[in-house]
Amino acid sequence: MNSLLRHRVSYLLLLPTFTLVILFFYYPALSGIFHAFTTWQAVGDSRWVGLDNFIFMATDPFIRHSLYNQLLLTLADMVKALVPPFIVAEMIYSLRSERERYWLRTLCVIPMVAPGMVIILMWYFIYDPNVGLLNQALVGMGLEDLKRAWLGDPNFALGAIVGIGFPWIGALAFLILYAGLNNIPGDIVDAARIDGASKFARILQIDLPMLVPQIRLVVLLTLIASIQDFGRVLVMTGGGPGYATYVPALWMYEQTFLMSHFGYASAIGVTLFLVILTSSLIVLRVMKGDVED
Amino acid sequence: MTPHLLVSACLVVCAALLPGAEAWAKERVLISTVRGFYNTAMDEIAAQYMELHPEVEIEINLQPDNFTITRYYTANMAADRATAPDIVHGNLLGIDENYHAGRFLAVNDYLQRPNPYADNVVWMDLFDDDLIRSMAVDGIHYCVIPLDFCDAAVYYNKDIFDRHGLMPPSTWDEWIALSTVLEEHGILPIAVSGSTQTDFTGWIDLMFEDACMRPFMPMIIAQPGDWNYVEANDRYVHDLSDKDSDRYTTINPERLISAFLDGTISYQMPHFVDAYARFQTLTPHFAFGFLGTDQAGAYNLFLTSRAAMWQTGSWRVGSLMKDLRELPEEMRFDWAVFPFPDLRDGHEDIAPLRGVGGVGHQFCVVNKNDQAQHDRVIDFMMYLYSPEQTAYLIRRTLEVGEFIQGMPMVKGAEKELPDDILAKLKGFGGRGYTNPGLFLNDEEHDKRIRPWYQLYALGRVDVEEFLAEKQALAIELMHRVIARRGFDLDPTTEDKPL
Repeated sequence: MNSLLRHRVSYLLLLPTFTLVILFFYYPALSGIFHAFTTWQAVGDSRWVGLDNFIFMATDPFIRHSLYNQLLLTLADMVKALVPPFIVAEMIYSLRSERERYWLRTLCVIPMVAPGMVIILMWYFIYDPNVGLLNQALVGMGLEDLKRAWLGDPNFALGAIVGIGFPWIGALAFLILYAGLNNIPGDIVDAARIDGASKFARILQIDLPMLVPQIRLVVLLTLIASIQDFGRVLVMTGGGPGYATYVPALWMYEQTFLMSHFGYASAIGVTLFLVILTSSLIVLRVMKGDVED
Repeated sequence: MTPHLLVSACLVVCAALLPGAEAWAKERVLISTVRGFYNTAMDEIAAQYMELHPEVEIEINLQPDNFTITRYYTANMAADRATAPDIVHGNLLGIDENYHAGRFLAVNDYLQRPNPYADNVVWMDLFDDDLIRSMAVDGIHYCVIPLDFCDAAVYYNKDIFDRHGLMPPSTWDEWIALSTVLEEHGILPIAVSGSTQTDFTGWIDLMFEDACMRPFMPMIIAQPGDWNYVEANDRYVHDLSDKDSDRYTTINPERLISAFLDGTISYQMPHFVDAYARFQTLTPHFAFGFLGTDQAGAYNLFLTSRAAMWQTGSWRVGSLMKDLRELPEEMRFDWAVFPFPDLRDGHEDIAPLRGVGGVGHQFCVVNKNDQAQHDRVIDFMMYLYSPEQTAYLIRRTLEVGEFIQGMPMVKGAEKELPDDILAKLKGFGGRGYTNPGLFLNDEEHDKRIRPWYQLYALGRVDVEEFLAEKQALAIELMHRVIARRGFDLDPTTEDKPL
């Protein structure tokens, strides 16, 4: 109590921050959990319906299709977030010239300043079936048979969404992995070199095991972002054609803002939260080994 | 900094953020509408109104598109009805659902009052009868007051048609045949936006459903004693070939639902199968990748003469004329529109396709449960919809290069349109429009059926599978409507939502 009084100004200064955090983050989240067990159509009182929303989810074809799409997208996002940034980080890390390292590192990070929506819209135009760059390039190369309605064909639409951002050198993942590589003690690398380890053996036996904490972080961030993100699908295909690109978060958004089914949307939100929480715990458990282990 | 000082600083900041005394004194009317149509003229009319009524502040909130308005309106209504918009552009909002949920106001009483800004003429008498009646919820509740009425049709490039000796088709088969000819000459026949956000196949479905549902009209029209019976129903003559035969009539939704639930009407009946099978003969002639093509993409195909036809609505007339004027001379072309061709092919159970008429720029009054606010809002709307202001609205809108969406709703306002625009708008097929009473809908149904339209349009499911799904979703919809509106399926009693 004395400490509280003694530091009262500090606590007072912290109060607005935490009030706003509670008001804008925790209250809506808790409200969402409550409303997941109700029907609520924006105006008027909500009505308690127990588990009905969750039972309905189990039979909703949009949820069924979107879960499958989400699984594929998340797996693809993981590969995109880990493999290209790791390869590029390794290549730059292997350079001897500090000056070259600096410039190439900077070049990889600069695209980070481009707004995500701009990138998505750029790819939207690339995929245009009639005047898009991709089909025009295929025709130009004499590969007209490979022309596709990238966003308008259920067989290719999800793949087209995965393709956004090619060559997928995510700046954040790159920086995390590159920083991890730089933190590997030089004597370990020198010892491997003296023992005659090839570069490939060094990557497999030293770099990858030493990067487990960084990889774990990238996996967790990617997992959360992938499940929460529906903006790219909304802009590119709106979930179609058919059910081909629906993801649960998009269906949640539509249930909320197009159909005013706040209760059902909350149930989808709570389920997504549980999926993210469970997956994160699994990732932490599976990848619990770090450099000390 | 001491706590006292901090609290004082907070109070000063709060005081600075509060609106001035003048703003508190004014009564505010908030209008949420879509950008690009009528905006400049609306602003000016609002300013003129505020000069007449200094105690009222008209605030126009512009949103980029119909989807954003939907989100804005929904979020505001969820937060606090009192601060939500008073007037909202209702295009995607689900007028029926909002009315029956008590969120929109039926303005029937107000429509019978004299309009002080139009020589005290009864307000209803200022509007085009056909059109305003066709938009009433259940045929009797006037929740939508549109500025104009848009219609769908097929735009075509007359130069391309002339070059290949083609005429606008009058039958479905002629349409397919001329599309084939165009393809043989390396021209994309029909540009259409089929992306999920702007899926035009839904519009076509409405026309097909209208054509196939009209045979059931005698069964579902409101009868004497029904809660939404109107005298015009007595004058109904069942003639499928007459596109206007059901004008002014009302359909009883409980009769419609009962007929679906007892199997008297089913989308799996042979005439539905025959009609919808014809839709699948057209989709192969849509431009490549139409399901991944948005409105701008489809428009560009037509504007650049890569596609000879373009399926869309009257709201694009103004922009097409403007863009064509700005094209280099050698790229310009002459164009016109034709209504959707006849589907029947001798089938007696199918009516001719009618235009998908819809409200264009449309205003709905949000029910604030506040009579004084409603009066205030309606007073502004009476001003806006007076002949003088409507004429100004159209004239000024065209003058500043903005667009109208279709034929004006206020009588006599047509004469404000330049001859060239009027001529183009008249090509959309007259007054024979789909009857919205023939099909129930809600946002959820719209969302759930859309993937099936798309798969059907692509030929991924056959007509039987598509119609079976359509039927199943329709039955789900019927049960939702029964629950939402508290229907007891007795057409003589008007039920209240639960």
